[in-house]
Amino acid sequence: MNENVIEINHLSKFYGKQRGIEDVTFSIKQGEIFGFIGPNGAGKSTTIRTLLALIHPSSGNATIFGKDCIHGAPVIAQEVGYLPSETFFYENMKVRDLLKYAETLYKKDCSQRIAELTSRLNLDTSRKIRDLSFGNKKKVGIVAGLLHSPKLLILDEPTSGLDPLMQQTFFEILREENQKGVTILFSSHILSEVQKMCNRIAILKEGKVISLENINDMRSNAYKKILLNMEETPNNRVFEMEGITNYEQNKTQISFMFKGDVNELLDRIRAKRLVDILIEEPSLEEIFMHYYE
Amino acid sequence: MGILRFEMKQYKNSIIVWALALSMLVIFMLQIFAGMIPEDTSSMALALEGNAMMEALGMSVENFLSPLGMFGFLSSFLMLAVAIHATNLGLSIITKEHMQNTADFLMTKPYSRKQIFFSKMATAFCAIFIIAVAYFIGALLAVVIATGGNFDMGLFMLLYLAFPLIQIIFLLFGVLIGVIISRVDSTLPVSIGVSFGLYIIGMFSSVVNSDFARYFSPFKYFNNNYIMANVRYESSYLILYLILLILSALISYEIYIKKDIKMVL
Repeated sequence: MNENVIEINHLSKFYGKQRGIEDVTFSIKQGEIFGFIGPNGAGKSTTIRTLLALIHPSSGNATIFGKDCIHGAPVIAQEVGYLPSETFFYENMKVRDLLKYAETLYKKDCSQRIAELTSRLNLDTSRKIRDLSFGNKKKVGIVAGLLHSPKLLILDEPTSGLDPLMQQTFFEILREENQKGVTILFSSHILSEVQKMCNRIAILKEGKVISLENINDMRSNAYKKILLNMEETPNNRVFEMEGITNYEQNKTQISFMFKGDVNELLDRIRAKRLVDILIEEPSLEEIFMHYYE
Repeated sequence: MGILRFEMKQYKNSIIVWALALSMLVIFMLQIFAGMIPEDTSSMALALEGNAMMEALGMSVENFLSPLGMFGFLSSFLMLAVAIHATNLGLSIITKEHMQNTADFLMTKPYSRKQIFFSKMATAFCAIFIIAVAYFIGALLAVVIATGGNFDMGLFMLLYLAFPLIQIIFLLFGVLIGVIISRVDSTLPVSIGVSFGLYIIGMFSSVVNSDFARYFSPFKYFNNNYIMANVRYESSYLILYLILLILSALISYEIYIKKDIKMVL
């Protein structure tokens, strides 16, 4: 059961001279929820669009279900659900007709699934696409991506435009799908939602995968951001130990990032007189910043 | 089949309007023009001799004054209209997925690019076929009324067939432009520009009597005077037509299959 659903080998894409992605290699196992994270323009969408055969790679290749993602595209597509970051549909169609059209394209009876999903997402199918808000269009996209019960879901920044309640429903649906054995590839620039959902993540920077991490490992050796407020202004650098980065000292204020044994750190801190201490999860920017140095 | 049916539904209204409009136009206009030809054509022939307008249209006076010749003359005007329509159809059927950003939706479904391309081409051919059939009925009716049924069917067919042939080549021109540019904000100005431009080149070739200029205007590949005199098409232009047809189709197909779908912006 631990077969690789997606295998990407040295995939590169250049738009003329402009870099899209460069030498991306990773694989996703069956049943995994895989996060794909990076700032805008890092190449998340380029990778996803190559997997979907919307664009052709400059070099390297990728397989989905063991088939080449370009040549096998029509066969693969039958089992893949895709939710683009911005959903667009035929504007003058009604939601109902659009979903019906999607259904005929899959040559599959999905009416029950459509009914179930639209009611869960609270989607009015009698309205025209043109009249829908961004969030409601996103819902149509979700239904259109899930209606044929695919074995692999590819989601490109799926939560943008959804309100928090809807996000929750959406994540619930994803978890249920995952429990049925559906593999999910999930791109985002919001670390918290990736942390919530994913087993493993790949971090992209300027078109390259700079880190592949297991979420649990990442948590256990995650960076902590530490802010200390000292009683007195120290004369020299107070903390000098392994695992400290981004050290900054400004009068009584000390801030740094820490990765390592917290006990050791706490022992060191205990030796000092403090007014205040703040230990927090670094924000995505700070994590990125760290990886991006 | 799914795509074909869906696309046909989208173009249904435009097909009906074009089919009706063109068939009605040819019926009524031929009666009006044929009615203006007097019993004795000699004075009219004299008046029109050396007329610059007639020259530009590449129409001999003698042909102009016969019902079938008149049909050919009117048909050459309507061909401009239908060329604009066909170009626009080819252009829009390819580019609309990009402009509406629905390419992501369609291309991630279990259909190969090849199947999508052929479905779209099949839709476009169905559309122009319906219009061509409607025009055929209108034209036949018009000629029967004007001549009282006394006319050369073979000659009529040759004059008529230039109409669908123009439709097909301009459809493929539209498709070719569509696959190359893919994001066209407004398809109609491009279609009008292409069709009208080639039409003007055709007129120019008639005025300066240049066979070289004629090669650049498909409108002039099927010269009415030649057809009226020889009851066949000029083989050199027919061959050129077929080459252009096959080339546009092949190049469009090749580009369409390989083209990257640009990110939605």
